[in-house]
Amino acid sequence: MLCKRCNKQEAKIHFAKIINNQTTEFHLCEACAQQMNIMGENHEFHLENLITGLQDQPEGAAVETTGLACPVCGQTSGTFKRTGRLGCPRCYTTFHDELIPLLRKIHGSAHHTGKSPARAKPAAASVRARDIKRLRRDLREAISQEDYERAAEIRDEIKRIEVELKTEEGANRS
Amino acid sequence: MSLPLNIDASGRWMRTEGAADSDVVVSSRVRLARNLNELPFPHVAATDVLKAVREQVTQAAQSSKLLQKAHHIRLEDLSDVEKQVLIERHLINQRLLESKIASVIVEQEEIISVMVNEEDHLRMQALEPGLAMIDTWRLTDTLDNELEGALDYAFRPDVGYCTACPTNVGTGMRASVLVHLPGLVETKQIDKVLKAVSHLGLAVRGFYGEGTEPMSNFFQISNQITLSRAEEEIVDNIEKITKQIASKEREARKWLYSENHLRVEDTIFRAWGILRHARLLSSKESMNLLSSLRLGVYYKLIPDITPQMLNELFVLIQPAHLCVASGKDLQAEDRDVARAELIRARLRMKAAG
Repeated sequence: MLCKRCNKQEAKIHFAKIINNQTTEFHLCEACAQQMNIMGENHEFHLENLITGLQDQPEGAAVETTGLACPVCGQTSGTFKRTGRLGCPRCYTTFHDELIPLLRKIHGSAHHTGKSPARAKPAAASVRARDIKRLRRDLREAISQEDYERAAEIRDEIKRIEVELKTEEGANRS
Repeated sequence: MSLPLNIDASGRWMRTEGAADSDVVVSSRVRLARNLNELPFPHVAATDVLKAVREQVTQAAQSSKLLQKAHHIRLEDLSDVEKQVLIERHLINQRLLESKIASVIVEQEEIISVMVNEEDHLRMQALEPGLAMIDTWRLTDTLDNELEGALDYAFRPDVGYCTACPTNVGTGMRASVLVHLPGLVETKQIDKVLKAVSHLGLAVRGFYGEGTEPMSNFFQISNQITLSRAEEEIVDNIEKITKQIASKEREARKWLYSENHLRVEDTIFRAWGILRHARLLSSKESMNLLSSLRLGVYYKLIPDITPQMLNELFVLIQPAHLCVASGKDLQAEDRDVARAELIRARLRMKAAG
């Protein structure tokens, strides 16, 4: 089997990533695995760097696609694509639009439901209303692409946010 | 500086007896990644930023009840071998050594610790013996709340706690158990079980001993997904799945014994014999033998030895521990001598007393 990235060398590294029963398979040659920082020089694996492989990456050398740079740390979208790491917390705002689809690929959803610091206010209802709007758009897109598994996930996420909003409304009223 | 830790013993998490499911589950761990607002993450931060972060975290730790009597260890004050001791005790990881301004705050019993300036500004963990996922989470949660009182965490309502790597964002939580599965390995069911586990959104890796030699029959199981699940949900999931794995492992152990008890006993008593009498023991060989002995303790074939003594030995026979204990920088062969001596002494001492 040839490497799925360069299509030139024999693929020697094979692995599968399974999220929500969606399997993404990787078949790479050693050179490509090293370029993607998945494998180091001593053949040790850095699987966290796999996420760079999950992004829709142009073939060949990474190109600086957008001129976007973070106002706090100066990191660019290109650096993020290469290293798989962000520069500072603000990057989550700066690269929001690129990050959300990536977070869905990694975690199956992009909506935090866990703990929050006592001083942080829960997401304002307006922000989440916007989330729902965006999700509905994604849902339509998924359906038009006949990706029903993905559509079901989005539907569940919308439901969850709606329930949260309702319970909060109820709590505010009482 | 010398390490403020007692290196003749391991942390309490490895020594405590009577922990739940400790015949299969060695330990439960929860770690949380946290960052300070508006500051660059450690991998791109300048030295003065890293220093300021360390200063802030040190201050915050002083206001924490759980860290009241903790040791504050700055990595630049340690020799290479002392740093390795911390790694072998699971208090820090290799990556922390790459940071220019790093430290670790270790509570006296070594149950909780906080790495400063690893991939994220803070990586706090709690490590408990046996299967105790929920208690371990509660402890980490309390520590997090205490520190939060003094630190301004980077948090966004939509994506949760911001982390340097998007694989940790959300809860910032990695919860894991270290399990000993000789029964499933011997009955060749291990691949099937591990595959099933990975389909449930959990990651499994072999637990590594010295270098890259896999340590026989030990596996670490942890959550992959950190976003879109609540912390309780994640730990509860791991606890339940681990319980199922533990019961499968016990079935396998029972089957193995009933199928051919002579063979099982032979393997275990050979391990017992070698460990008590050998003069040279490599890291790999001793771990394999200790793994067999741990099984022997389960079958009640080996008197007076507890799994906890063996858990502790797994740490104490690591290279850096042997070097610090002897006060010398031992070469591989000398380490094999020291390792064999230590094991003989420990097993005889415990068996007699």
